[in-house]
Amino acid sequence: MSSFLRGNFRMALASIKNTRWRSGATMFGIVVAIVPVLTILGIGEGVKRQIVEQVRSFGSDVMLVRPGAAPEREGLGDLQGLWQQQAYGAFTDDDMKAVTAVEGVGSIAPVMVAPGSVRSEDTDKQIPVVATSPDFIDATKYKVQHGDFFTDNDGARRIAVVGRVAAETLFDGDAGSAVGRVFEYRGESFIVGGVLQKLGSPTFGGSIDLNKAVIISTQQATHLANNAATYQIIVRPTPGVTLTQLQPKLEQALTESRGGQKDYHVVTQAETLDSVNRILTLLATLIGGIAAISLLVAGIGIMNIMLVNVTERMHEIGIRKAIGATKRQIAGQFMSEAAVLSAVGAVVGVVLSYIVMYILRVSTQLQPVITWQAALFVAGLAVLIGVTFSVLPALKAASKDPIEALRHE
Amino acid sequence: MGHMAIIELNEVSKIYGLGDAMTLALDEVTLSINEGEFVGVMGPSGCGKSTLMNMIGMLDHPTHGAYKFHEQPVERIKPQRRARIRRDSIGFIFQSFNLLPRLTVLENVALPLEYKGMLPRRRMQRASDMLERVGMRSREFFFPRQLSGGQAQCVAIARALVNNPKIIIADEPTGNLDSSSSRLVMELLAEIHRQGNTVIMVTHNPELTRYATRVLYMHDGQIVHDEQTKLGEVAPTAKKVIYASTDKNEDDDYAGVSALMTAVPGTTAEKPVDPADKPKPKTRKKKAAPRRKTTAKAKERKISS
Repeated sequence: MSSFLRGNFRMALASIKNTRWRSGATMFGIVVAIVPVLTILGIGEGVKRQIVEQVRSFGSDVMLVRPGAAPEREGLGDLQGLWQQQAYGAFTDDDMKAVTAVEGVGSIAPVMVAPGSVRSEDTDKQIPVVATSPDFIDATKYKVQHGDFFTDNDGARRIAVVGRVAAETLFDGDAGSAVGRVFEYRGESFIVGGVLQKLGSPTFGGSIDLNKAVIISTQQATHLANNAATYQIIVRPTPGVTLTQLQPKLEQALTESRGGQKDYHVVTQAETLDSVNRILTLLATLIGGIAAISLLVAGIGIMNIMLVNVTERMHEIGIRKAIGATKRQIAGQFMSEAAVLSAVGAVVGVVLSYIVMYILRVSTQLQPVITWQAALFVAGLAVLIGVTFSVLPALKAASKDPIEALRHE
Repeated sequence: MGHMAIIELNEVSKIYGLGDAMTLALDEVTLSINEGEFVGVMGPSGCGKSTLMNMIGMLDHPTHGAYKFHEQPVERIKPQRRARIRRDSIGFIFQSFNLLPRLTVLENVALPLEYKGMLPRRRMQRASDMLERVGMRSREFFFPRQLSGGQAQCVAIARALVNNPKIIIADEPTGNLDSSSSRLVMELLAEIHRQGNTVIMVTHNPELTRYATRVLYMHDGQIVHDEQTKLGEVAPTAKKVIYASTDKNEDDDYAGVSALMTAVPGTTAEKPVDPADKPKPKTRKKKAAPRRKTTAKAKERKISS
């Protein structure tokens, strides 16, 4: 049987070579089906990796507490949660104290938005101001590139830490010499005590990009602007305590502090990954639909070509039957032809997809990634569809009466 | 070996087409062929010779009547097994060679072995040996289009013989060949026959009946004459054709009836000026209506041929 298959394979190649244009057109159909599917899959995979990378940078041992109830996990829940958040009150000092008192809490840092913006001699740009506690650096594990983060002792002094981009903006593109220089906020002068290392994904700033912000202490913020509000608390447990152990205790304390209302939610890496995955699954379903349609069209193309092929080679079928080919052998011959045709198309399609991926990487911000599993799966699917759609033409060839086939010229 | 009937046709008819286009290609043919016979089949174009060959070779099935192959009713043999019988027991040789143009000579000859499931190495060896036997080994890797007609037919014969079939069906194997190629092909067929195989061959050339042990003459789908002949001698009836071929009259030409038919006993007397108007004197038991229509068809066919 294997020798028969090998013979079929060779015959199929010969047949494809003999009908170059027609076979080429069919293969083109498969290529056109595969390339967009693999490219979209690749873009999806790239986006996924970027997001996962960001979520990873968050760290698996830290949690964020934000005002507002946990977003609904069905339908458009995530999106609703986004604007519902505004309706809930910020955290108070009492809330902070309650959370700090919870057993197992290691570092804790509030994140506060201080209204207004910073001015310097060198720029008119608006630079947002974020206020936090000295524990911030410990809770986030961010690195200070130049200088130091402010400490508890600096509380009364006007010392600030600036983001890398903000430092460049404030001091004429020179972040290195920013330490010791001065800027003004709400009529008071602040001295730059440190510059943060550039952050790949500044997750802990929430809606504010910490690279482009100025960080001051909460004491200064509340002193200068009494409407500054804590919209996020970063909590890192003490070593040896896991988030799952800490979370219920923390929630209990905070709910108590907020008058029995659970009007806040806790964000962890696992939860974020979960919602990212849900979005990506949705994307994959969409791609699956597109793939199914384009492969179906390619399959119909193969069927048409094979039908023409069968009609054109009726005499050959007759000869083969006359010298003893069974129905199954004739059907097998045409199906192996379709398999070879779609396999060649699949290989070309995959190669082309990789080329497209490279072009996208070079010329756009997308970072598509085509995994070999995806390539293999799509190529395999193309071959499967090719073979499936050749069943009908192959059966047509096989069931032809030998004498009728032989008379066909 | 010898007198066992391996092919038995009992009142086999074949009708093609419907209504006005109906053609009776075989008309209640009853025939039995024994193992080891070399049967020559002669007759004018369109008399049903090829249909008879296809019927015997199980490429075609009778509309009426029964066909027994090795005492087995063919209509009860499943298509799968029929294909295997064609592969293992019957070798076909066609007038137009019917080699597959995309395969080399060697691959063409090896094809029946491939269908049998033989491994490539063995089947190529066997095909090569068979090509040696027909003197075509030096052309193994040629493609059919690179061969002369005689060479192509030798390859076709090699393909027909490669499975050692007991029956060879040759439909005008020398029809497209010159005389020296014809001779080569006929010697090959004669050798196959000498080895005890059954050969059934359609021919237009009376000379070739020298190779036959029995000659059938067909006309309008019927076997009108059946004679045993001696090997090496032209069949007596066919001989008349050779010597009488000059006495053909215009009517014969017009009707397209070859001189052969004039020589066949029983057909000369009934040759009418206009065969369509005059019913044939033969007795018919059934299927009178389609028969009449097809007589007219037969006439048209004769004129056109």
